[in-house]
Parts: sequence; structure tokens; C-alpha cells
Amino acid sequence: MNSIEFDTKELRESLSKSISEYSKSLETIFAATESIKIKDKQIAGEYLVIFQEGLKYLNENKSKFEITDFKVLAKKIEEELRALLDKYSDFLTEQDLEEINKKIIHLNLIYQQVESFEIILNSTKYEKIFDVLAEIYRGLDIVAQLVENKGKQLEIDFSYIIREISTKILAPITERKIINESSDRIDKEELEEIDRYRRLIDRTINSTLWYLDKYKQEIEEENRKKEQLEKEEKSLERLKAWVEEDQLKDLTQEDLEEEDVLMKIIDENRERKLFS
Amino acid sequence: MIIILDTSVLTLLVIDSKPPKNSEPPTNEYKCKNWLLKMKVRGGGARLFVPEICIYELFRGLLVAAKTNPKRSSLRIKNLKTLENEYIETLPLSREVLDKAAYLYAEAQYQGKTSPKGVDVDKLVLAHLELEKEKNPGRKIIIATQNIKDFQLFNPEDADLWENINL
Repeated sequence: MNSIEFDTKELRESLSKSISEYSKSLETIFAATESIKIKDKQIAGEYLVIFQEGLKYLNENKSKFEITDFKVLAKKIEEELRALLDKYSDFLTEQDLEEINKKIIHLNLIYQQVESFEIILNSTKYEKIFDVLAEIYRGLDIVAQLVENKGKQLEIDFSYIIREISTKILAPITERKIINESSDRIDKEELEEIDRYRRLIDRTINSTLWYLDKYKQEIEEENRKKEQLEKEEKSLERLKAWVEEDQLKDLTQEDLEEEDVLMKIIDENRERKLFS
Repeated sequence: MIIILDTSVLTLLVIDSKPPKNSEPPTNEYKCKNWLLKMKVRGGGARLFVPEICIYELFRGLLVAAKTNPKRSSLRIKNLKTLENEYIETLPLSREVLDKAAYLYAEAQYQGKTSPKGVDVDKLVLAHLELEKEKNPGRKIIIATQNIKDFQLFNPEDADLWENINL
């Protein structure tokens, strides 16, 4: 096998840097997602909260991070999803239920992957790589679902992002098991592949951000138009009330009998002797 | 559509009115306010402009009339403010407008059409119309008035009775 002695320190530093960047990007994605307020999208909002809690937890506990914690978190997400499913079952369509079930199955898969990671972790020093890959995987998966849900509502097609995330980027990472289980060696080609995936993830995150931004702008524009229409509506209601108001009611009989000087003045103005 | 209201229409809009009762025919003031409502339809409608010179012309009339009937004038001044604040846009009397009005005045003289001495308000309103045409090519722009002849010196399509104007 054409492998090289791998510089552990360098890889850890490099990946640690990337991890931090991905983590930041994910947070930005979620911040953008959170700022998009969509009616009836409470479920999506709750996924977000769950993920954010998870991310916060992971970040806070990075130093003492253990794979068991990750498993607890994955389990917690699954439980939360099931709770959500129960909570909304009366309002969801068959298709929604099917989708949520798929998510639970997917989480179970992740959970299983975490377990398989653990086996690897026991024999390597690079547990953080897997922690983070799993974190990214889970994060992007949920982001993708959020985006897809929102996309459906606005008839924007985000499916390619999801396809890219799930098929081109993440699945190969987890499937290929980047690290050689039996040693600290990494194949040079595999290292290049890791880099390629990293770039792909970057690109995907960027395009997701771009779409979210575009989507946010559309929502803002839609809200602006809605506000404008509501404002117009109120203004027209006031105008209608003004037109229909009996303005003579505040005038006394004496006022009404008084000669209308204004009309006389305006009539005189018809001759246009203004300023002359 | 852009509609420029002259003093005669603005006057009708500020005059106190009441909705007609039973078979009573609606007053001209009431009809004019209803016309304004029709022009301001939801989601757009026409843009309604009033030259500041017309506001000046009406406002000074209201102030003079206030000596005889302060209550009525105060109500009408309030109506004028409501219109200005909410439903119409004003066209300022700028140097550009004065220059355009001067050209129109001279043109009318060349054509042998009589114009009043001193400041000619109609020419100022026409100047606003011409300038709005330049700013909004292809858009329908018209003066709404009760005295069409005053504004049809150069083009019959420049003005119409307010009640004939529809969206």
C-alpha cells in the first residue's frame, strides 16, 4: 500500500482548524435559518433548537468529549423527534409522518455509525475527526431537511443541495472510514480525498448559505409587500370613513347659514388674477 | 396613471360634506371624495399630485374665509391637512417649474392666446404636467379639474373633468 507516515500533530491541528470553521459556518447557516420566520414551520424551528443545543453542548464539552456523550446526544435527538412526531401527529399529513419517520430511521443510522466509530476510535488517536465528521453530517443533514421543507413551501428547488450533501460528500466520508483502523498511517490518496471532501463541504455550505440568503431576501420582500398592502388597506379604510363622515354635524345652523366665502374666493380665482 | 389635481378639485375635496340620505342626490363634494377613494384602490391605483401653488391658493382662501366662518374654515383646513398627509403628494414650486411655466406663457402669447397678467397659476400647473411627462415617459398623466379649457391650451388630452377620469 502506498502510504506515508502521517504527522499526527499536523493533521490534528489542520482538522481542528477546519472543524472550527465548519462549526462556525454551521452556526451561521442556523442563524440565517432561524431568522427566517415561517408560519406553520414550528417543527423545523424545533429541529433547529435541538441541533443548536447539541452543537452548544458539543462545543462546551469539546475538551472532555467522549463518544458516549455523542451517543447520548444522538439518542436525545431521536427522542425529541419522536416527541415532536407525537405532538404534531394530529396536524401532519401521511406524507409528513412518513418524512419524519425517515428522519428517525436516518438518526438511527447515524447512531449506529457513531457506534461503529467507537470501534475505530478505540484503536486510533483521531477520535475528534469522527466526532466532527459526524457532527457535520448530522448538522448538514438537518440543515438540508430544513432547507428542503422551506424550499417546498416557496417552491424553490433545494433538492440538489441535499443530494450533494448526502451522496457526494457525507456518505463517502463515513463509508470510506478515512483512518486506517490498524495504524496511525493514512494513505496519501486518502488524505487528498479528505481535502477534496473538505472543499466540497465548504462549497456546499457556501451554496446553502447563498440559497438561505436569497430565500431570506424573498421572504423579506414578501413581508414588505404584505406590510405595504396592510398599510394601504388601513389607509383606504380611513379614507372611506372620512368620505362617509358627516362633517356638517359639528357645524351649527348659524354656521351653515353663513355665506360660503371660500366658494366666492375660489370663483374669483377662476379669473386668475392671482398676484396681479 | 398620474393625476394632477388643480385648485378647483382640491377645493371640492376639502369642503365639508355628508353622505346623502335616502333618495337625496349626493353633493358634488361627496361625489368628488368618492372619486378620490376610487382612484386610491388597493395595491396601487393612481398617484395623486397637487401643485403647492394650488395648496397656497386654497389655503389663503380658507384663511380669508375664516374671518367670516372660523368653524367651517377650521374644518376645511383640517381636511386639507388630512389630504396632504395621507392621500396626495405635493409638487413643489421649484425654479424648474417656474422656468417651464414661463416658456408655456410665452408660447401661448405667440399663439395669440390670452393669459392673465401677473402670476398665471394655470401655466404653473401645466408646467408641472409637462415636467411629469418628461420624468415618466409613456405613463398617462392628466390634470383633473372643473375648468377644462384653462388647461387645454396646447393639448386637449392634458386635462379632463375629474368625474370623467377613471383608472
